[in-house]
Amino acid sequence: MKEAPRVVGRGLITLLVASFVIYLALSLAPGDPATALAGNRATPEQVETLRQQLGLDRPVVVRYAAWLAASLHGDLGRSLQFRQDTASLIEPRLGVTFLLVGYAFLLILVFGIGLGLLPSVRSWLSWPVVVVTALGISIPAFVAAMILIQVFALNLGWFPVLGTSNGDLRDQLWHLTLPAIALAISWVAYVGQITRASVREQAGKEHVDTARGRGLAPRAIFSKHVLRNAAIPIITISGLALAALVAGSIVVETAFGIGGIGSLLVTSVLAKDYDVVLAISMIFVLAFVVATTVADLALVALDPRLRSKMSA
Amino acid sequence: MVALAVSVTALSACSSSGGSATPSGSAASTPAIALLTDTPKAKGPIDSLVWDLPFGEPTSIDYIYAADYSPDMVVSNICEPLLRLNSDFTYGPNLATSWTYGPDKLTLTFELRSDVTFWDGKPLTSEDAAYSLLRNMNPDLASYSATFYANVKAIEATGPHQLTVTFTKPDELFVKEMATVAGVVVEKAFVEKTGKDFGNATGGVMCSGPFKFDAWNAGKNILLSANPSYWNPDGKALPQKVEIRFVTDTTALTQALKTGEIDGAYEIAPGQLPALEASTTGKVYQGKSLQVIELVPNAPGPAADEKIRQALSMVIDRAALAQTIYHGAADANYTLLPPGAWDPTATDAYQKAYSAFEKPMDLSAAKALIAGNSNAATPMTLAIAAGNQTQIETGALIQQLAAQIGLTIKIKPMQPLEFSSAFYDPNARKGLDLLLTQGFLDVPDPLDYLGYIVFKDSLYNWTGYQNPEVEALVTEARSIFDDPSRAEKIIAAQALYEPAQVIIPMLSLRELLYMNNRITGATASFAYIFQPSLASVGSAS
Repeated sequence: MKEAPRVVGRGLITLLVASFVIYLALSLAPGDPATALAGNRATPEQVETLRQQLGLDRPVVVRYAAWLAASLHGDLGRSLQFRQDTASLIEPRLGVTFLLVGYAFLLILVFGIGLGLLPSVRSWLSWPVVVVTALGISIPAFVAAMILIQVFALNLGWFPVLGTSNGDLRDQLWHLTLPAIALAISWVAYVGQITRASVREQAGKEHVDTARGRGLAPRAIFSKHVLRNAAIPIITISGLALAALVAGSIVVETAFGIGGIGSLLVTSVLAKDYDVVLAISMIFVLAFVVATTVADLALVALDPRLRSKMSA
Repeated sequence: MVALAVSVTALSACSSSGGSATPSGSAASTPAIALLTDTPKAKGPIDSLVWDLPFGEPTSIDYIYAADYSPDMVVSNICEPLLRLNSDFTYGPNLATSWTYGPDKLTLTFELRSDVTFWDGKPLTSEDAAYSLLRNMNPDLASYSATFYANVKAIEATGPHQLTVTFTKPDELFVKEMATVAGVVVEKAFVEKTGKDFGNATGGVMCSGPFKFDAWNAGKNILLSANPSYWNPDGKALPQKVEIRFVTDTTALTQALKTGEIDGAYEIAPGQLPALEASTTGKVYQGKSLQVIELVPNAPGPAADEKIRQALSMVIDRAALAQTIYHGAADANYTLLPPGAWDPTATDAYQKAYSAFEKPMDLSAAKALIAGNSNAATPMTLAIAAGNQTQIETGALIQQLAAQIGLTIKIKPMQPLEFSSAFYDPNARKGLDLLLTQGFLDVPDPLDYLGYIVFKDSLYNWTGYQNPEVEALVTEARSIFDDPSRAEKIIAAQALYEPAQVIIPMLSLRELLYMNNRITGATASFAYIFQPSLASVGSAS
């Protein structure tokens, strides 16, 4: 693992740059958090006093530096709108978002890859898979959410309308099924297409023909020569999918009334709640960095050629 | 969330605005159904209740930071003010059994109950009460209710269960506010112990209400349970457990109400009314309310011109607005003071004065009023809250109506924070000519509302309107404790300020409550916001 420090360093730089850009962008958005915080009966003088108390009258770079220094010491600051420590505000919401994203990712792996492999098992399924995946890709998550709620919650009554549960893990998964499907649906289709194309391409390669000519068993050819090579684009796209799911959770959480960090990010951005926006954004960026890094490492493990390139 | 918040108390008679005139000729202004104050009484307790807050998760449940739908509702179910606001907007005893003014009206003495304990068993004393009320006056805390304490000189515990408030000048409004979150009493020791976390999801609160605060799971729910040692045997909570949810998406909420995943909610969006009225699992109740929809004009620009404001007001088809966009869940309103804000013992006088302003939409008169006026040629910008479907439709209708007399209106949707900033910061509302807003009065008393608007320096007077006579009348009225005499002053002021259209009134809203068929008993009127409104919710059969 010679490349570990480089990978970590790259991640840290990404976080640093992203945090500054987000802080700056948020400060440029219209609206003043002090006015909302002062309440709807406050005089302009009271608002001004509050602005000074909160340090919102300082230049943005100074405020960013103060935020950075505090975060490096593990202090994520305080929510302006909830008058509460950011960490205690985010922590209880992390679980449900991670569960939702994990569930959706599992669906993508199982059904996306499964769908893509179908044509290689039964060749007459090739055409239906192309149609289904093309349709799936074009369904936005919020549309999927509306349709799923109408059909499976209201008409059939199989699943609840809302994604929030007070029960055990099983009950939570039951509540999160429709949200996870809504979140995963276009990625299932995408991964399905990539898998199908990739397997097809590999199956036509010379070394596979050679293997066939040598009389190797079809099953062995498929797993050793086709699948192994086809896995490379699938893993890359899955890493991207995982990162995108975290961001996509924002829409789905709102549609199903789930109080995760996605929906908190929306209200925090609207309220210009700096510390909370930054903390959640950093979680999103971190998720992206980790997901793509893991995908990279998996590729290295799979493809010896990459290994030599990276250490070079 | 922008709310022109105000306060008053007792109104029993009239929230259905007179109904003598038929403003546009298209729809009667009289409500088709009688507006409720209560729903049918519950038959018995229930194990659990799931309730939603359509305005979303409260940002705090500290009573001094409650001035909006969600925090007000949660605070009022767990914490208690000195007086109680009844469903018909009258007020009566609660933690205080009596309240007596000194001869000069400069002192007000509350006798408190001696049998009230906080959830932790500690007795509620006048010390707690004085401490709780004084928090509203602490400039470092910046209480949202500070304005109601403007005329207060001192608040002291003058006996173990006696509290005395001294005023710098007589203030008839103060005692009425003691029936809202502005008069809430919490445990002093608990506030001091929790410090800056008092009232947030980590620290919680310590009060004496019919529900105990159990937990606030950030982003998910607030959990309450019945307080077994509640002092008032008639007010004990019927639901043993309550889960308060924060679903804001109107479609998701409607669906969850229909399936019964959520039992009930106040503040149903008018747009969802048809869908919920068709529901077979529950029912919509329309109650009396103190909420209004209005346009706040901003200078400079055409809206600074009184004639333009008058002409615009004349073309707004209030009845059509109420029928088509609010699905009948609103009533036309023609004055700054909605009929719901009138003092109950002086409604006849107010009604008589109101009738003079209740005029049908008049295109030709409006056209004539601004003929040749150079300001009429300048386009105006109307700010609305982005993403609020009702406001988008309302804005479009106003735009269309104004075009009929040659006024051009451009709609500008604004994000919530940008929009709320525009209400408090003159720089943030630069370039805007009109702001569409929904506000509410806390209690039915015209005075508090007028204070926000008709004075030269009022928070919502952005057109530079100034009339010393109006200011003198309104100031004098605040020291008059007799309702009919006070009404005379207010009506005299109204005759002066109303033609100026400092604010363009449009609608009085009705409270929209939905309850599943399995339950009943919730307060139907807007008074729910300052009551333990869920305590009376129980089994329907």
